Amino acid sequence: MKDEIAVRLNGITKRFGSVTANDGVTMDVRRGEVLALLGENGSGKTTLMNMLSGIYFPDEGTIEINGVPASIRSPKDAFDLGIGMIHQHFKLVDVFTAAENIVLGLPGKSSLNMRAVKEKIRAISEKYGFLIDPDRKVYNMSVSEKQTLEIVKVLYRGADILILDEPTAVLTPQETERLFAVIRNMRADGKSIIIITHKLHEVMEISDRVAILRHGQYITTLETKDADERTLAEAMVGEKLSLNIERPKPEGLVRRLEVSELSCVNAEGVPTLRGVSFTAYGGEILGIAGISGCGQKELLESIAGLEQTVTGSSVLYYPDGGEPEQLIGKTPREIRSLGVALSFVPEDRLGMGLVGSMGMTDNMMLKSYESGAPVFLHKREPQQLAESVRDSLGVVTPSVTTPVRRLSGGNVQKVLVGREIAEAPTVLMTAYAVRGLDINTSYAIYNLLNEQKKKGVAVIYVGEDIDVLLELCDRILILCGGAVSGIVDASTATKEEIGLYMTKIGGAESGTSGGDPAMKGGDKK
Amino acid sequence: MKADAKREPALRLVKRDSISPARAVIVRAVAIIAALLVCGIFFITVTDSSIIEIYSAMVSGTFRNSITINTFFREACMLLIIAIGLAPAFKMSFWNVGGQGQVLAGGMAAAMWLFYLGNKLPNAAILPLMFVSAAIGGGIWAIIPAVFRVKFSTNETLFTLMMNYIAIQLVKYLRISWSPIHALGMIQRKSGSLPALFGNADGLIYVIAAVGVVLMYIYMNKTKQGYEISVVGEAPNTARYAGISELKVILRTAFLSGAVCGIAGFLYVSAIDHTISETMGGGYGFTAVIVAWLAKFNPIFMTLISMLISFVRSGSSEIVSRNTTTLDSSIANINIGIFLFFMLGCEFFLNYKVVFRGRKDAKK
Amino acid sequence: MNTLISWLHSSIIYGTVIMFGALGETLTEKSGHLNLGVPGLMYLGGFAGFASAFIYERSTENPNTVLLILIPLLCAFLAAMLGGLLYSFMTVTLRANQNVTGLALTSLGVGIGTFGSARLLSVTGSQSYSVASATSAVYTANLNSVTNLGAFGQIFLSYGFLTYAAIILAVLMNYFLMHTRRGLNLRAVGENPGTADAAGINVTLYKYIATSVGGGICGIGGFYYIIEYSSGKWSSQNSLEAVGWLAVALVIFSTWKPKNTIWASYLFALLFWMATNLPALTGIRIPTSVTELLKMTPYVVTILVLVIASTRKKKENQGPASLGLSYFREER
Repeated sequence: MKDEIAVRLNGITKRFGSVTANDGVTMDVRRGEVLALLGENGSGKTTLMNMLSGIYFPDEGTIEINGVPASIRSPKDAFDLGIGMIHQHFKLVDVFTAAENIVLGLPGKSSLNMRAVKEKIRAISEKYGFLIDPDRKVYNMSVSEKQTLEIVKVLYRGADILILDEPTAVLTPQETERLFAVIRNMRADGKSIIIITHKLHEVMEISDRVAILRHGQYITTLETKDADERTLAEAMVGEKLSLNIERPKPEGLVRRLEVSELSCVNAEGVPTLRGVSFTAYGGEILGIAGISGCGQKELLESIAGLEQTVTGSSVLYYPDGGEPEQLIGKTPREIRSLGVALSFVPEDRLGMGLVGSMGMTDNMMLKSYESGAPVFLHKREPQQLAESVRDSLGVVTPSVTTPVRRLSGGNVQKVLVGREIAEAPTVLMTAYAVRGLDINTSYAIYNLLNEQKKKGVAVIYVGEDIDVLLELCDRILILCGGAVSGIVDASTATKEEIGLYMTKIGGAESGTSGGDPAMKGGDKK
Repeated sequence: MKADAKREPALRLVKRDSISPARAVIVRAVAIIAALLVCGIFFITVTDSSIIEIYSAMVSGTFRNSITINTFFREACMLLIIAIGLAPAFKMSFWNVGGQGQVLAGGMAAAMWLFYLGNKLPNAAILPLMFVSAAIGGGIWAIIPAVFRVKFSTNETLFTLMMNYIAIQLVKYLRISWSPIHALGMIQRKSGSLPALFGNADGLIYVIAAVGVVLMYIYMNKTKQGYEISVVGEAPNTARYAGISELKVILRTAFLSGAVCGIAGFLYVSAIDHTISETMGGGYGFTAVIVAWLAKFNPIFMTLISMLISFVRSGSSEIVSRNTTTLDSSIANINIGIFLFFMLGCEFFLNYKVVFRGRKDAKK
Repeated sequence: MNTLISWLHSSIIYGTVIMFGALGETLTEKSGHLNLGVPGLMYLGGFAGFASAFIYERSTENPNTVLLILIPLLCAFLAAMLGGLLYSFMTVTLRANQNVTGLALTSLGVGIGTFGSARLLSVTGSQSYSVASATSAVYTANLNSVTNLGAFGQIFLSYGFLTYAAIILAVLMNYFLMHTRRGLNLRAVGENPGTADAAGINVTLYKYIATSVGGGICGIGGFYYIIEYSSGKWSSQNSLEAVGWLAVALVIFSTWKPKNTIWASYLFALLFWMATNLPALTGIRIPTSVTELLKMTPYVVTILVLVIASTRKKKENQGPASLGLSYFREER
């Protein structure tokens, strides 16, 4: 049983326009094993699995399921073959209940018997140890509940081959442990589980074998017990990389931004920030960690003047000792017109920060288009800026007028960061600056941030990878449920410590006290 | 194995990165010819004419003499003016389908001067007043839905539609209360008629349309306000981030959009109809939506498409006039509908490439 | 009293026209398609239904009652269904913009309807309208004429069978959407086509079928308008276009729930006829010009409804989440 092949991929190729996402991938998955599919962002992991789950159809190559050739043209074909995929972005209907989501798309009698459906859901939950309320609406669920629902949905359909696309990206360390326990239960039940991930320690912890993709090509499959993180990382990126991110010593720390008791409510009246206080210093990188949706976005947007319902204060101190400026209550435009240089890289690069159909030049003038003589646009300066950003950051684009939507994720990010840095900010806030970027581009971004730090800019870095936060930042502030649950010194803190703060709701008191001394000691370091 | 291979999709779609201008012209030309063919076949089935008779009638109906040529250009200009009015709103993702209502609102505002002061003021005084109030009237008609869109995100598509009917009822009311006896006639006044230019009564319409096209092109592509429209339309979050006031831009653009349609209403009142009626602007509100959309808001393309549609209209009415017993003027609407569907459909072939089974799409 | 009865009577008939349109559009919108072609679909259905009845009546001495019912009903449904099919082809297969396609469909449908009417007039030689009297008689046959129950009969029993069929259709559609597997699947397609697709639902097929059948239902509304509201006369001056837009707006008012469509349609129609009936009912004399102003009421009410609907925040009362958006699987 153990060595039987459940899935065999043979020379799978998939192209999108001129981009080749998968190039002749040949690999297999055994029954009753956990296979980790490892690769950098953009290495084609998700595309490959989407062909197994019927979202895409391969341009070339064949697929065999349990030794039988299969043509998977639709998700329905995939279900019929016992393949179920849990996507990174949950495929759930918000206004439906858990049970309705589970029964969606299934064959059966034309009238629905919801009671029988709920019975079966309870049976599955008991077997594997899930906690799920079949009548709960999805829009009321937490991220971890939604993920549980996705897995139950797949099991309800009798899947034997489960594909999980970066399942831990949105979970706390504790939730991750619970998920891994369920995965082990399923493996013991003889199911094949494919986990897409780029987190090496998780690969080591959960998988039996590791298959590695690089730039759309299959590299190798290793027994996990024969591998270690370093060999995996090398196989993944294909070149020797320094695992250490440069962290220059913070110098000449001066108070730059003082935030105190910042609170904010969203459109539904639910608090998103609860009395956040911290100080950001010029010459350091302050990391902000937390499970996604814990107020990171709102915090940055409040400071940038993009949130309407903010109370509390955030005061900007000028490097030259000028009159401090209260930022709360000002619009983004007012903040700029007061000469306050506050730069902000929003979370969603194209949705917020750039205009996809415009070229680099037009995007460069997004914040400055109003300058100069009235009525008409002045394109010469933005064009020069665009060219200098392109040349200095190595943006790959046919021309500065090519719509930025056509550029790759890394290049888009460079355009955005380049524009923000060009404003010579005193505070530079970035959110998920390296999301979706390959390792080399990520390091280029880290270098840019470090350069700003050396110039005396107060850099605020919202990140999701704790390892990076620990290596890049000087201090890390952890948000949990909209409140500060801790501020730690990044050079001494451990991953577990941060993981605990991430789940400690309302634990502000002990947390902040751990952070402030670290700061006061900043001058001594 | 063989059976499975068969299940590979027979044809798939591949998105094009870009298309060469020459190819784009060919695709559009094929669509226009196909539409002309379908229209021709349609005419053959409803008349007894041959295909050559049909097409020659369409051409001669348009270009036979100075009157038909004039009508052709005038109708194209009116459609064009409404389309360039709607374009900035669409570019801002504001679905203004209330062109008809805005034309009427502008027409009412213009006719008001004509009715009350048409015998008292000279042309030089009343025409500017009519022009400005028509622009304001049309602008107000468009800004009302915009306010609700900004404040409550109310669906502007249906709102602007309903504003059409409110305008229609207002016109009906005014027709009865202003002119109880001559309800259907012209409002005959000494002044308030657009003077002829170079001996052509419609001359100023051409000038206004041409100036409008140029101004709108500059406005959309070269000005700060045009830039703001692009940002708000495509990336509202980016606009918020950049500190562009969405409220201000949407209200301003909606007003501008309505104002241009209002000016079209002014032209109907002062140069074409010399009265108001609820059929003024004859369904151009919707046609103009499609014109603006097909032209991707490019005023130059809008000019070409407006002329094409005007040609179909005048050609159709010529065939109707030769078969008055069996056909009526609504046939033009069918032909325009056929044209619009072909033009809409051909957009697909500009953006996508169809790949057949077994053929490798190795090259772009 | 008589004014009140006639007000209610005409409202129920007019409301039924809107109800058919709104039900058809509800089914369409549940698949994520905002079809602005409803007026065109109603014209298509109305004209095809009427023309087929007209032709059948003239082709035979003794029309068969069953055929008198079936032929126009099927023709109305099929013609408008073709309109819905064209819309689906444009928006799903050729990926055209939904709003623009809908407006083009309205232009085309209205054009075909008015053009057809002229063709029929040229057959009869009449100047104003043509009539299908036998069909109209069958479709307007009602219980009131046999039972004679006074006001009760006039208000509740004096309509042809399609009036009651509309209510039954609303109830059935409600059951379909809320309590059947396919209904659940269809709702998922409109809410989140990506999810529906991943769940193995053929999104394209659901969109095509819901939009086509929805179109067909709109077409029956158009036919009902001709045969019951206009007593079987087809004239070139129909106000079907306005009814079509009211139907689109009513979908929002009824929060995309067919059971709400029933009372909402009648309410709309009551408001529509207020202009003509309220003066007589209250005894106030109103000049004709002001009557034209009063006729704005349903449109103003629609706007109010739109505004109120947009301030509602409860998730269950919102439209399908991906309404008006296109869905293409391989887009990247």
